[in-house]
Amino acid sequence: MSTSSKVVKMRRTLLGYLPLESPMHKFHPLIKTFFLLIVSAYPLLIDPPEWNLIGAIVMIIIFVIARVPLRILKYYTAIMLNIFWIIFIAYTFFGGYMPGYHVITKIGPIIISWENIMMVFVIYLRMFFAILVIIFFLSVARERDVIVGIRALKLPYVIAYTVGLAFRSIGLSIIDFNTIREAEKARALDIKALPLAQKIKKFGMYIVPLVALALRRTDEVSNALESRGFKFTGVRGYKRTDYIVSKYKFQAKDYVAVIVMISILTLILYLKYFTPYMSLHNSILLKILSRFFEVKT
Amino acid sequence: MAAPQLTPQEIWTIKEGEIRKPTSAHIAVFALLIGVGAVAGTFGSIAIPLGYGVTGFWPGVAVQAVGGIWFGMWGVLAGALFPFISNSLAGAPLYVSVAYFPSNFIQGFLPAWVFRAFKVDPRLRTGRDWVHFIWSAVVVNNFLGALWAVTALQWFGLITVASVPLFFSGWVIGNGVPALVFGAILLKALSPVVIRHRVFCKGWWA
Amino acid sequence: MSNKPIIKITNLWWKYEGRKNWALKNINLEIYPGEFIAIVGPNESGKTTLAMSMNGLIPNNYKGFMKGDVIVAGMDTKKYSTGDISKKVGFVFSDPESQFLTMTVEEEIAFGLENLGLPVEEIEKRIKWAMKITGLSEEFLEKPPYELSGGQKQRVAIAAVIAMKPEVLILDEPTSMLDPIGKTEVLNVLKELKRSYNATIIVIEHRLEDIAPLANRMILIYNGEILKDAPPKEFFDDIDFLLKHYVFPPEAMVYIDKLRKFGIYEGSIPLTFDESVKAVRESIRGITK
Repeated sequence: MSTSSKVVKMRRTLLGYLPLESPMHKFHPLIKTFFLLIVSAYPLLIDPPEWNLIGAIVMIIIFVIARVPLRILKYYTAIMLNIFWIIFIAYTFFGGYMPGYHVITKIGPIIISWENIMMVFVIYLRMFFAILVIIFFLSVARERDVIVGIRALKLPYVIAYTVGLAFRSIGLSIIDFNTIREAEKARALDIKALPLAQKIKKFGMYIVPLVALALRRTDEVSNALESRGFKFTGVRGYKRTDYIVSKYKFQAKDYVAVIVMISILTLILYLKYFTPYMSLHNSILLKILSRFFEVKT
Repeated sequence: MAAPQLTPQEIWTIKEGEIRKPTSAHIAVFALLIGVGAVAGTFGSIAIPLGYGVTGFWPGVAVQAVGGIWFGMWGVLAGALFPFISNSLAGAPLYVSVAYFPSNFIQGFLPAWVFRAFKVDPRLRTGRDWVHFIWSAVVVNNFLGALWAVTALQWFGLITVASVPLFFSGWVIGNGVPALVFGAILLKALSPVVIRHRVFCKGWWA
Repeated sequence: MSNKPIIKITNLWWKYEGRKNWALKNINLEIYPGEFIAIVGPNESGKTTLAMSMNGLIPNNYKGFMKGDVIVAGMDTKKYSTGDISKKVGFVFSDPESQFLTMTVEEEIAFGLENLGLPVEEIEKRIKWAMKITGLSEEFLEKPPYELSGGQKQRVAIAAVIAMKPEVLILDEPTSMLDPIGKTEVLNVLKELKRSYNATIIVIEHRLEDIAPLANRMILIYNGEILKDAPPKEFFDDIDFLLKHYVFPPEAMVYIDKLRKFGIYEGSIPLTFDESVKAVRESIRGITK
């Protein structure tokens, strides 16, 4: 058989599908949760835009190594562009003026200053890195990873279970949403084809049956829960087994991953609070840009 | 045969000898509200994004308001939690969602408290019901939510002081309009059924 | 079969809150270990309500008014929660979609077993056993249950319940939402359960032609009352009575009943297709003699 006809086995994740051969599957599920918790903090702590840009590039490399289909990023292109324009317009034209700002030009009452343009880059690249982190997490983590993560952290079972049921509920809501949409389409209502204002108006036709169906499912889900021995209070006179968690073991590579993530976080904190390297004044990118805008900082 | 009409007083008052305690049905409704909210919230967050999960039109707020009114703390907590999912799917960073938690909590909590404290009819039958609904579930809750949200965004260094008005007004309008329209539709259409359902919470938990 | 009933229902009345009519009226029923019981009746006749009263969902999970007693495996349903009763009584619902509580088949089957507090090794063993009996291969374990076909979904739902090894297994219209292939898959599982699973099985089912040959006893519920409770041969003996109460026996049975009325056939009503063919042959032989 030629390699081109090889079928790539995929595993469903929160956002799509990930090949079975992805190295991400080899890590303990808790690592994905740690990744979200720790790496999400990096862009918020970093000010210089070039650092966040490096972070974003590293994230894209990680996407490739983890074999995440890069088309997932395409779904977010519109969102990322949208966010850029919003930030660009909000800060450049409506960013306000404070004494000491370097004025580049004035359009009527609107003052365009270097400080506001600088913030466009600082904030957008911070967002860019942060968005890539969350997309990566959603692309590699399964619901099961999140639940195992919570259970492995020894949080009360009811929390882990409710999170799991919430994930399941999203699936049920999507099924119901599609059922309603098909029913509306059959009655010649196609929201997709409508202009935005109409879309908003007609959304009411979705939300009422969606909530009504959720109510009906409340009975079905709670009946199913109790019929399989779920006890709300958790009091049953014996310990509930954690079968799913028992299937995973924390291995050397998991410890290494945690150490690396925490070390980078510590380094960022050190650079930010104990050295001048992470200040905006020392940003190389901003220095280059200020020259472009002919601003003396 | 139609069931006898309940008065607002009867809707919210726990009768003598009436035992109300949380059950697995409350866990189910809590989870299902997260599901519905996540679907409705993601729809809005992607529709007119202003960035950081702030949007010009966010129907998720209707689920927060009615969830709190009908299901007490289950609805309030579900309303505070589902934005983690909808915001994430719309590309908002984790800690931005964390920062929004108090905003999302208050948006569900205030109407839930007002309807219970002032015995407001969730079926919105009188002018008084509408007044309480509008101030608590449309205006003040979203105003407080927006206030906290922009403060948090600023705190994280994601927006400057100067751009506060844009995000603040985006939040208030983006939430206020769907809260008014969809919140009212949901309450009018489904409250008569919900108040008789076993998951309806007269108190905070049952 | 033991002489002591595993389910004993005495003078049971049930009315849902806000409803005028009683959903169940003076039900008296004894079910013995090892019996395979089919409960039939038209829509809204009280079949599901009766089934739910046998695992404690009624009165524990529904608001309403109850008179009488339901004792299941020694537990009074008014005193024990559904969670407690679930150790003895398994319940499979008609909509496979709504009864899934987790995101993979493995978690789904393990859910009830974890609630029972069984050791990990035992859970592993039971998952394998339940998968085997329901004809599911191990490749299903990692799959989300809601992505499977209708028949597969219902088989997962059955596996999740029988893994708990309940003494009583109740299936509420397990094939009503399935396509013909799915229905056949589930009926094959029921046959296998009857053959190899030593438990009391109660099935609410519309497809009489499939369920009749499996059942030891058939119960007709109409308007909240038990109108007939008999072994299948006896149950189908009065076809007109069944038709009058909107229970529609297989066409072959109705046909044989007609032959009987014409005096062409004298035996009992056949339960299976093969028996029907045999009955027709006998009748023809009788005519041609």
